[in-house]
Amino acid sequence: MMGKMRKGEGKDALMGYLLAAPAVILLLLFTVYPLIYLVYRSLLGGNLITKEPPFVGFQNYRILIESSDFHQVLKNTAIYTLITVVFTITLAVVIAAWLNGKKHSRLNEVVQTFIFTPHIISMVSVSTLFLWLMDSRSGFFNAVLSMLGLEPYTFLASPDTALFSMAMVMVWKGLGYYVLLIMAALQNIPASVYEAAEMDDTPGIRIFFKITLPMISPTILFTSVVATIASFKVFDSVSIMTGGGPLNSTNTLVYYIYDYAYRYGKPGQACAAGVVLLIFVCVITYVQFKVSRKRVHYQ
Amino acid sequence: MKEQNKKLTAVVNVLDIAGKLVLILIMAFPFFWMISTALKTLAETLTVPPTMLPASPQWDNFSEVFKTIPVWRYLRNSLIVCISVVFLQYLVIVPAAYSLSKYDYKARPLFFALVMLGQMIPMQITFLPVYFMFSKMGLIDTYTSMIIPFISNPFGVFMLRQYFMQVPTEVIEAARLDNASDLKIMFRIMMPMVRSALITLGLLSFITNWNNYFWPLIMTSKDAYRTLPIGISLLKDADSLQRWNIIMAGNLLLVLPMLLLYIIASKKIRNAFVYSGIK
Repeated sequence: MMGKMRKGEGKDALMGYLLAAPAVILLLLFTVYPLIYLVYRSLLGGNLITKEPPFVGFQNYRILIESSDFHQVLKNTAIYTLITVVFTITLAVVIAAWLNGKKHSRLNEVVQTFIFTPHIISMVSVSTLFLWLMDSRSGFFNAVLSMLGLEPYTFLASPDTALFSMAMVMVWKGLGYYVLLIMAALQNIPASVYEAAEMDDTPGIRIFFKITLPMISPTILFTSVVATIASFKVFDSVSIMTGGGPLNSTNTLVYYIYDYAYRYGKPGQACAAGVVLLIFVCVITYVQFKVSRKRVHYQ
Repeated sequence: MKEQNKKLTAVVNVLDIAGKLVLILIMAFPFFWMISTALKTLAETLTVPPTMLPASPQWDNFSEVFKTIPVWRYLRNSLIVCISVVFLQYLVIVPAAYSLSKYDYKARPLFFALVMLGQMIPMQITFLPVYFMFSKMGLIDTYTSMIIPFISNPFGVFMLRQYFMQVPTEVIEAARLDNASDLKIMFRIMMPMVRSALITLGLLSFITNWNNYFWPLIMTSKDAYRTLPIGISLLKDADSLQRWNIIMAGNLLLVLPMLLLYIIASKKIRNAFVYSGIK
């Protein structure tokens, strides 16, 4: 497949290097160097303005391990990710299968357009908008609940409900993207697969569980991994909606890193937490790699 | 039996349509509420139960936003950053993709691995070291700090490489026989062939950078360089009264350009994101 071009000719190779150079230099500067520096800085103490921060070994990591705040942050991040991924992917599969049917294809097109809209809107506005909808005093959601004669829900005001409420905002924003990814997979299922089932008059629900779901299971795994990484990176909504509160209940990993570097001025500790995030992303990406390999085999 | 089946089908049909309309409502209502709130008076935003529509639309809310925060400056900064990223990235990723697809040299696999690494590592991991580096170089509160890290767009390199690999080598060989230079081949022959991919990449990076909050938040501390998402997010804090009508009006300024773009090129944008998701 690769064009073998006059291999061994010095001039050609030189041109290859030259053309790739700008991108390579930028990637070295903004990906490779930061990774190395992140690990190195996590072993140093000092604050943001210390000229020569002292080497402290694994002390920053020890502080993290012993800090109940950090435990809380890891727990929050894990719960937030779990809720977001489970809700997003489950809903996306159901909706994608629903919209993929032959019924009302014009309407389906409209639904797709609407469901994807939040994905291209800034998380700043989405967060602010839901902050307003969830406002405990004059927010729309609680107005509806009270009109229905129900108790007001605390949403972001209580540590018991804040993380869940934030996860729901993320589900609302991201859902359409995953619906479209899964629909793309559904459209790749050859029609012949369904024909046999249709002849047997198999009911739709059975077709869904026995044929559709197994056929797209690699895509479901793949999108789950993508959604997991996206959830791990959550920052904007925390920064805008809650600032990590109430009572640290919505403080997640990236916000913690940001807070420790800029608010508390402890870059060593922040970088150590950054290394923890790096390890998570590596593990998840490894899973993704395995999954996408399977996907290739499958097709 | 047949009669019953027909009835059942009709019921299922109605439920199907109703369900889809509910779905549209769930996705559209928050936007409606944003617009409605943005046009209400402060008193109207506080009434319980809330009214669906403002009694008379308060267009002045928008001028109030412009009075509270320097919207034009934020907008200008956003446009400078977005447009610079879109065009500068072409200068970097087109040659890189061409090199990775059509040249043979020792470090090529290594370079490709670097591109894959760049795709894998999110900026939420690298931001602190980059901040320290820029801070040492005096680049905090500059456009450079918001533009440069985005122009090597590893996904762009990856995507264009896929496209370039499909161009038959004979096309290039023929051009070489005509004594066309490498750069001429790249700009005159290769680039036009991937025009639609370039547009897709431009769209994606414009949207991403327009909406970006995390990076400019870290790289700026002065209004002179803040982009629109940062500025609009500050509106909420700048306004001690929490006037939600003004806050929503401000957010509309951030949202509307994207909505308009989406209305114009809905299908194209969706396909671009799906493509970038599947790879």
